[in-house]
Amino acid sequence: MIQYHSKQLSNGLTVIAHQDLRSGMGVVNLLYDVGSRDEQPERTGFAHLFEHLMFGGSAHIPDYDRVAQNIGAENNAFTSSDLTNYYISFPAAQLETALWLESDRMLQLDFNERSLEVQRQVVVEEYHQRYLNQPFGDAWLRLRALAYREHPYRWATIGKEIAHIEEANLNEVETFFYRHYRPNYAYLAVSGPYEPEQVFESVARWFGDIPKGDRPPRVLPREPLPEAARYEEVCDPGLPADALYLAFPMCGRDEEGYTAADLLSDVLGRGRSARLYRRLVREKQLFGQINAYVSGERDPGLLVVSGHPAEGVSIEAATEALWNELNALKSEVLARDEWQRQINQIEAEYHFGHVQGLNVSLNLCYNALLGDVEGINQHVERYAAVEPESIRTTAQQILREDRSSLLVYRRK
Amino acid sequence: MIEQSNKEGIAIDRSKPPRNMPLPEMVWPVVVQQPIEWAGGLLPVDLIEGGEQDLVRVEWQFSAGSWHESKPLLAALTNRMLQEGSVGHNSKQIAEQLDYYGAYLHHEGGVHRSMVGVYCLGKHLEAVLPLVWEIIFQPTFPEHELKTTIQNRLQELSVSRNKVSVLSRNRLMGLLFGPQHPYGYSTREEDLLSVTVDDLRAFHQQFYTVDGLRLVVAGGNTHQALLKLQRSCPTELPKGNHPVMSESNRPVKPEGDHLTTSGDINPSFQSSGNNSRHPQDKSLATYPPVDQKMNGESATQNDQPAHEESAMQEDRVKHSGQLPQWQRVEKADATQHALRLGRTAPTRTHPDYPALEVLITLLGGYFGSRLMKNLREDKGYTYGVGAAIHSRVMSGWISISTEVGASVDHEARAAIIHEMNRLCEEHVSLEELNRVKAYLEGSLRSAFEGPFSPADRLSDVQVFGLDFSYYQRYLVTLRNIQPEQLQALATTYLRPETFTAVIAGGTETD
Repeated sequence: MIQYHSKQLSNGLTVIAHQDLRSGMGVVNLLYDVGSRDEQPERTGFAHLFEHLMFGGSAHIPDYDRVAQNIGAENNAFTSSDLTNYYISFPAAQLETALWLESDRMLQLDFNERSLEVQRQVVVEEYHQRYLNQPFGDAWLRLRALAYREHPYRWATIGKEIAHIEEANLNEVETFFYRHYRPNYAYLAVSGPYEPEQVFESVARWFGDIPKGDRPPRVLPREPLPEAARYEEVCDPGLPADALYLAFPMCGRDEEGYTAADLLSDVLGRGRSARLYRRLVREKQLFGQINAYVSGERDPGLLVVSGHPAEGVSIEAATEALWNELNALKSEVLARDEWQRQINQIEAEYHFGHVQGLNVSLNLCYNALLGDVEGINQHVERYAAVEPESIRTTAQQILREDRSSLLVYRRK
Repeated sequence: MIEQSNKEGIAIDRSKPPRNMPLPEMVWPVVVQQPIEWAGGLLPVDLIEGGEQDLVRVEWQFSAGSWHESKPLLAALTNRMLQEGSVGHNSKQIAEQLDYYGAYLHHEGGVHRSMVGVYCLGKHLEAVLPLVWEIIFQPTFPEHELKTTIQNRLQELSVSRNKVSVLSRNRLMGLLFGPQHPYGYSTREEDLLSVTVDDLRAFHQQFYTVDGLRLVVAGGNTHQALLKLQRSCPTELPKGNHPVMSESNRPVKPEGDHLTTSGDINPSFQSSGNNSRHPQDKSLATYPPVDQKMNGESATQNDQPAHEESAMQEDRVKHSGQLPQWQRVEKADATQHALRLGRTAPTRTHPDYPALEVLITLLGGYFGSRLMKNLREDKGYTYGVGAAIHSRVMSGWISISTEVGASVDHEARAAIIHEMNRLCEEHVSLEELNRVKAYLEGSLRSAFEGPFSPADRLSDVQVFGLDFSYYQRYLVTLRNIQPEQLQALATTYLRPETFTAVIAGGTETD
């Protein structure tokens, strides 16, 4: 059981305190309920660019990093389709400074042209380094555009194209900040050797006077289910291998069937005993590498299988063998052993994943975002409640060729 | 339980930072050495207790690295193949049993050491241990499994060769140590294809023995784990029959004037699953070192380090003002070029090493470093740039690496050289020095949290015959180091002309 106490300030900020008396370090994790799904189609990549700008100085602190380093802290942030998360970990005695840093940039960012100019370039280089200058680095850019037509998930967090990032202006930055970076859209967790009352008192002191925001409710289009299979092929003799990405629409994280769908992807792809790796890589040698996972988003997302066909195996032969494995799950009921294998892995990963205060505080915030902090303590039992039979029905519902999107990289 | 707070919004002065609090004395984890018994004697076990949860990790470490192999890749493939078949279980059964207990096997074929470890919940440890002992000491190396593994490795290799970061690293390491040397080697297709199951069996028989075997147990209830380890220990274990191989009987590329290694060279370019603001710092310089030979002279006190490889000596010529010659690995279509500079450096046991950690951190080991400030935060040339110092038993090395837009390649190179020179020519300000000290002390404290990270820190230094006292000495160095020392170190170890420089991407006409 992960122990915590939570509270809401009158400006809407959710505060969660996790006491860890063994730790000599403290963590402040601050999650904002804004991601790339909140962007305009002509300004994609903005939420992530904005995340970079959050380090460019705030009302009373010209250089966030300098202050953080002076207290021996480590900090970083990430952006996804649904959220933007900032964290800082520091020797436990420095909690006040960490809260000063985070509250000042929630109060008022220092909007300046120079920071925007440099971070635009940095993000463009990030775009190159991670998405364009790597073999298959653009797979998710393509796959999203193929699998979605309406929902903002059709673009990746880094942005649909570089031009969108290059065109961002300071006005947009300021508007975005006051719309989304308000306490009532934020979840703050503090982990470390602190009494919960001390945490609540300090957080209220630093964040209590930040005015709440008033953004209109989020209205996003529901992605229609594809009416026929979709296919895209990238032909490039310079590729080091063939690759395929097969994506199926599935429900969102807030919906009933999410856990079963995630467990289905685990049966296919988690661990060295997972079906696809075992049968297609080790037994039949049809793939050199294969994975299965869910995109894990709040709105309806994707269950994806991706891999490299083995050298000398055609994409067609590889795809056919893959479908045989997928179809098998629609007809057979998982044996108890295989089911238990997944549940036990989930249990172990859950506990090892929470060794660090950083992960605990992030997951506390994430569960709060989903609507119930206590969800963090129900994780394993939620998966264990999925019966083998419902994995079969989930497979029947999700693994449908006529709703799939297939992206292929072909060397010749 | 959500409740409304009522003590909010008290006027607060945001214009001044809260007081930088003094830190409590650092508490070092206790390592308990408690051997287990088997029929042939005792096996040393280090216990590191920590964490509230019933989580445990057991590691078996062998002197079975690429340093010991007679042909390339034997150490790596032997280690990798352990889980593909043992006397009582085939590859599938091994995978299923481990997954059934939620046990995660991690394994590493290193240069001086190879290791197999298992992470699992304490409640499953007893069920898992017999299988782990079996795969470590009674593997069968099935022919068809080796073939599959090699085919998959070939594919991975061809994918990774398309990355400029990999190309630049491989070339640099080869230049520093020689492509045949274990520190400079990078995997070649023909070597993969020439490995046979007989090679692996022979390597295993010779090096996976109780000679030099070290067990490390870390977790929440190590004494319980130790009992289980003792109970599961096989009665028969292979004793070593190999001649003790001296660490020094393998010359480092005799004709070269530099040395260095592969593997974990790139500190800070791990990408997370999401779009992070900056590459995850793997704080290279974070876990420093100290040395048994503190009475050895150091570069800041004496012109010639007392126990340095001969290669160092050539580097101590007067400042020549020359620039490194950039060597190119061509990749015409690259939109970014990978820049990588490196040179050999003292090992962890050298008195200069702790101070070098500080110097390299200043240069490129944290987000506020000179290189990050210049290339990223001032100029926007790159998503990330880093410098690191590493050490293996026979040599250390310093590396600087980044990926930059192809169009600013020349400017980025000049900026890197500029920052190296600046450290040689000017004192670092006290303000900057205090910042890097605070940062590194925070990193050190963070590295000693929980049971697993301290266990890794111990393994990092144990291969040099050091223990946690190394980190204690490092902390003393860190707290006392002065600008003059750093400048002296820089003129010894950071002069650009003593570096080998590689660029991957573009063509010779660029």
